[in-house]
Amino acid sequence: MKQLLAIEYAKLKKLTSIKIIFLAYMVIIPLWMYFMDFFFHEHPELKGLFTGDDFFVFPHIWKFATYSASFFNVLMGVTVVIITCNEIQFKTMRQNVIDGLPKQDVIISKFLVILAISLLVSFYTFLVGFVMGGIYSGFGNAYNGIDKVVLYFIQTLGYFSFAFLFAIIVKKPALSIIFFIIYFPIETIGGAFLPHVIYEFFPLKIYADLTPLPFFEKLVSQEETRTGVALWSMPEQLRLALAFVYILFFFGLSYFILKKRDL
Amino acid sequence: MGEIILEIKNLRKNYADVLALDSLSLTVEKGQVFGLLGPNGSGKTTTLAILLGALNATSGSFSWFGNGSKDENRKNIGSLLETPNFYPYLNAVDNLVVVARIKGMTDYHGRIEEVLKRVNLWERRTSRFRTFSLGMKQRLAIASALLNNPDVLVLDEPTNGLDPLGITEMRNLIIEIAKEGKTIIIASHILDEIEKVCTHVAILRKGKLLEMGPLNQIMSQEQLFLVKAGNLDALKTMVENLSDTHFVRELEGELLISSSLADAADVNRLFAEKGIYLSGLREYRKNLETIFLEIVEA
Repeated sequence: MKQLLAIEYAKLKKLTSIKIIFLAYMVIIPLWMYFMDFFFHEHPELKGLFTGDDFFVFPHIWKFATYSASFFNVLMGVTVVIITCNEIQFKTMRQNVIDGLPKQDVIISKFLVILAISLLVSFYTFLVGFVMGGIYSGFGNAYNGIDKVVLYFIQTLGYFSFAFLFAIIVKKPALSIIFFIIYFPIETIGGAFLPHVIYEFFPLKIYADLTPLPFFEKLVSQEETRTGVALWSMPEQLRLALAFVYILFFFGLSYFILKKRDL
Repeated sequence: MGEIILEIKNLRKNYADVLALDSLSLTVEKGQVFGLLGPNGSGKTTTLAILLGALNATSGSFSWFGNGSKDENRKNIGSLLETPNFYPYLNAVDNLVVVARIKGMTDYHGRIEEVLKRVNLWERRTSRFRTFSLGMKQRLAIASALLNNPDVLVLDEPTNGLDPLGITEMRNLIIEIAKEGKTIIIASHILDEIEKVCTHVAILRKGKLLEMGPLNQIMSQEQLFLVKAGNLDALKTMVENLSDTHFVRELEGELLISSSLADAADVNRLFAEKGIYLSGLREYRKNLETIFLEIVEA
């Protein structure tokens, strides 16, 4: 495990493109949060839906920070695609295997990279939430609702694993990125035509619902009162379990494909 | 018989509807410099890629070091397969660090310096791989193959992209490494290269093994002669009609013939008895190229 991490670190430490993407991610998240805050100030009727409280105050900041950050998961998903497709395009994945790396270690080492990226972005999101929440409301109530950051971490792990599977299947970076991005609207559009209960089980829907719109619950209850029909929503535990099952499935399928494939 | 390093049994590989490798079986023993010969597309690279885990065989099996086809075997094999594959954004040293890590080496900095010096890349150690010329890339691949001092080297067209000086250096390097008692497997279509370094050869065509054995045994088949006469056409007709001689090809006004007669005097007598007096007759040292052409074109 340590050895695989060392191998991946040696490969990635001088890859400038990831550093630039990560820097962009770091800058854009707080900016985006301020923009959303500004947007809701301009539309006070929407803000009323939320909680009536300030976004930047504990514990609301956790919901708000993770929701805002989740917009840019696709950015880090692209990073995962680049890292993976590079190895295929440069034929270094083939060379690694020839040099003695078992194919399962190829998959495990990429899982470790994805885990590290997820930890990194989750930690950064935690930091942004913590600092902003502290500035606006003091640190007294800081850890209330911090479980949202853990859910965000699982969400990123899910998205990045999904991106990895696309990269393994499609092999070409540009195409993989395009397919990965257009899968989002495809699933949403497909979901609109399917019964709500089935759509709830789709992978991206599950990951997206881990960090829902901050005023999502309020919207749902409003809708329920309006129509008089209770909407089915997946229990949180089931959603978490499925989130892990999908991650396992993505990596399992990647391994199966790689095992069968001639490099 | 020496210790068996590699044993291949009935190895087959199909690409869609093309049979790239057809029931190949062979054995390589410790200390051999084993040449895999064949025209382009004869299955040399396919064979090596299967042996190195990059391709899945359709059927058949192989075993390295009597230890099956386990992934860990490859850590003791240095290889250069087709193009050199490295991370273009990393420099020579960083690329070798990745390889060293995969091979499970712990203290590798001294060794990296050693191999980079051996292939004359030490001065360029901090240049990114993408700035290298083809010859430099090839030399980095050799350095990588030698990195953890493996017992076996597998080289696919090792002189590809090298200039004449580089080719000579590569040849000397191979001979030097062979002297250390290492086993080397080389695939090439440059026969001169094979003839100068190999102890054993296998000849492939269209995925089939045509001939295999020690180089000196393969080389000592029928004797070749260069003959010449006033009427070359009449001589050629006679060569073709006689049972003891075979026409091979015409070489600048002389005929290259093969004969079951070992002695030039016997050949001379044979033609004289048939009424043709040779104006030139000399033994022709057979090289691997002529043997190869005979075998492959037969």
